[in-house]
Amino acid sequence: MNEDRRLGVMICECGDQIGSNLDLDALARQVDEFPGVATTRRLRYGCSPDGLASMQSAIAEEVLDAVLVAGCTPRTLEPRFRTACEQGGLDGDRFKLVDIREGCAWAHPDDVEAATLKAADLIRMGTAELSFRKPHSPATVEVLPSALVIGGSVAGMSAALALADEGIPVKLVEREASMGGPIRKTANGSVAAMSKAVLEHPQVEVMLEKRITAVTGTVGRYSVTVDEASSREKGAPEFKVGAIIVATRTQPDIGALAYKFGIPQDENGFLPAARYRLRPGNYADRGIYVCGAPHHPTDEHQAEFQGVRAALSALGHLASGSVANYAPAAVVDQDLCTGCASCVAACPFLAISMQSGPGLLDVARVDPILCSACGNCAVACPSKAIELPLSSDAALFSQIEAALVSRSTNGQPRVLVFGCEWSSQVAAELAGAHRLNYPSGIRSVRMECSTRFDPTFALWAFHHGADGVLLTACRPGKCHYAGSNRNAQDRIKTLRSQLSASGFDSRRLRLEWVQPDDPEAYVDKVSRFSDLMTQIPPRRSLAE
Amino acid sequence: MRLEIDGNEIETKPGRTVLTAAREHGFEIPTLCFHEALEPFAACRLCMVEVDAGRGWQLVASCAYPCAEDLKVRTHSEPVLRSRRTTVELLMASASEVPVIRQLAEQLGVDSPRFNMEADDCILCGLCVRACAEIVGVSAISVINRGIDKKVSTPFLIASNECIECGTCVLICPTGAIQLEDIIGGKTDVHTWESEFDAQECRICGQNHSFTDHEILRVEDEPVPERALDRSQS
Repeated sequence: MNEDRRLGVMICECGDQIGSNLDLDALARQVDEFPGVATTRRLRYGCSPDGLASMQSAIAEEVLDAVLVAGCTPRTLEPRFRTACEQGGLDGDRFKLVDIREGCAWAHPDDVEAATLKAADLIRMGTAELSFRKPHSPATVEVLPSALVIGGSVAGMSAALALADEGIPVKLVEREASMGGPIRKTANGSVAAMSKAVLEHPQVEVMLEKRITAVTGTVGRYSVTVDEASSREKGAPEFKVGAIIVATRTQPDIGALAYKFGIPQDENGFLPAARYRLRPGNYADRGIYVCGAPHHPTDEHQAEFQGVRAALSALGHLASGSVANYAPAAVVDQDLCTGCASCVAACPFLAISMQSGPGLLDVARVDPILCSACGNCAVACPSKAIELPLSSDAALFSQIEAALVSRSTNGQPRVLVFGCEWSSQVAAELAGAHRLNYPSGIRSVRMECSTRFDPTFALWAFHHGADGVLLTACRPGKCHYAGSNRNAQDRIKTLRSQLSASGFDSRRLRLEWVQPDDPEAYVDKVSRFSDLMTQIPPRRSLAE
Repeated sequence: MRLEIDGNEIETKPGRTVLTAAREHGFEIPTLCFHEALEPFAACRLCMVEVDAGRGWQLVASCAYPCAEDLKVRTHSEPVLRSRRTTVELLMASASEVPVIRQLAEQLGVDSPRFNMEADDCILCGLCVRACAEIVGVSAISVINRGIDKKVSTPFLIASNECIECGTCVLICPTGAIQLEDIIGGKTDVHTWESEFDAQECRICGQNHSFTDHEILRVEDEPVPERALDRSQS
């Protein structure tokens, strides 16, 4: 930990929303004592122009290198504070908003002491985390303004025409000698007429009786090699495109392409629409689109519609000229990497590849444009060579310590909730907003995804005196990071059996599925877990 | 810049609205459609105040009215309270069960509303729609139709493929009227693969839902790990 850091803590009163339920004088006195805190200020409305100006003047006057605002939920006002910090000359990653309104003042209105204690713990956790953050810069790549359509199906042809009409050079690769397959008619005419239009379009280069042999490269710049479909002869030379539209007709082709592009297949071998429900800017459009038969058996109307729809999506991608990813991408320490490739298998976004390193070994490299900072690789890495700049192991361990450092919780069990940003954090904030009460001994550690949960976090928490550790995740099928919550489930399962085997009561560790917009269920789950901690025999320390 | 609020002279800087300046100096004005993270919208009309900018007193929405030199403001005069009472009465007509509206009604002394409308917790303040556009940057929902048919919906009433399920709309809604299910649920329509299908009756549960939900339901039947390990306690 950097000891000479200068951290400013702004405690927002939110009118009387926070001040009326928390002892802010006591809180400010406590916060002043935290390591690294250079100044503590109280703001009437932190988010108002005056509040933001006061924060900016604190940054300048006190020469702060990090700012923590204790106020409302980060879900709404974080961008505004962050922008104000950046205008005040501070890197946005050096700012953190800690929720003491929904999480403390509103959730525990009848117990000022417990709510204040919780607020102090949350601020301590925030300051600990901030000191381990490493500012990151976004990744940007240029997108080549050209496209490849795989398959001369009705969907493929309509996509090619839609793109070509907008002036995008299109290459269409078809295995057979003619396009359209068994379909003869489309909604607006014959397939023959459509195929003629494609063949005669000046922007479309049709490559019949060819097949794709290799696709390399990454977002914006895919290198494609094409061979003769019938023989093994080398065909046309390699070419580069900015977007790829998959519109093949036959099942084996679909499987091969799905594997090549890392598109998940459903139980029937089709490609469901890949939809990453992440914040805009925190993931990059890969420029690979699927339409027509690979989705599901379609009629010609649907195929044509889907082709145009895929072309429009591709057009948006190609027209942008470049794509950026602001997600804090994982970084591999090449000196620590042993080249085991565990991370390659763990990454659901195909962002990691093995490349020749400084020594004899091939080492892992994360493509920052594809990384969405879910944390799968960091947990999977056996030599801990992968670090997430905004959520490193050190940052999480220090948060766990900070959450458990003060010994009193008014007789309530000390429960650490590791909360997924997309499920339990929303539910917890909603519980506060709806003034639902839950046990005030709960401290929540925010994580992007439940898969960021490293089993050692639980051990660290138990070691530091936690009574229970609850991991909360999105329900199965609802994970925002391509089913990564399954990994969390597996890890909890394994760790529980290991804890049992060593004589530790494994009921102290649990996984709960949480629905983001159901605060009642969240409150019920955390309350029951907290109650259970009081009922089971006092825990022995891990060392015993 | 100086202005006078309820007879007290206050000092503020240019570029503030009357509401922001008043709150900053401890004058409380009720609001529903206002949120600090969003541009003012002036839809709920609860923040009405009387201002005198040299041309006599007039009622304005304080969330969108800019401060001006020597502006006089009354936040709780009789015309202001009358306006707020009518607004709350209208809100009570359809959303009388909502705690925040009941609380407002109590504060302003509105007992039973003269008007009666179909019960609907949504008060069309537009916070969810604006949050989705301005904070999240997605615009998965918008306000559709006109007049009494006005409502918050996904485009063409089809389950949204754009929604990232971040929950900001649910959190920001002052009346608890919106749920993620309203946006991504698709009770009658399934919108996957950029194509539209009618929802089918599930052979397992008999409800109408999409194929992906069906998968979720099946997975959820699996018990969360509990079982054998718990019997070997320390």
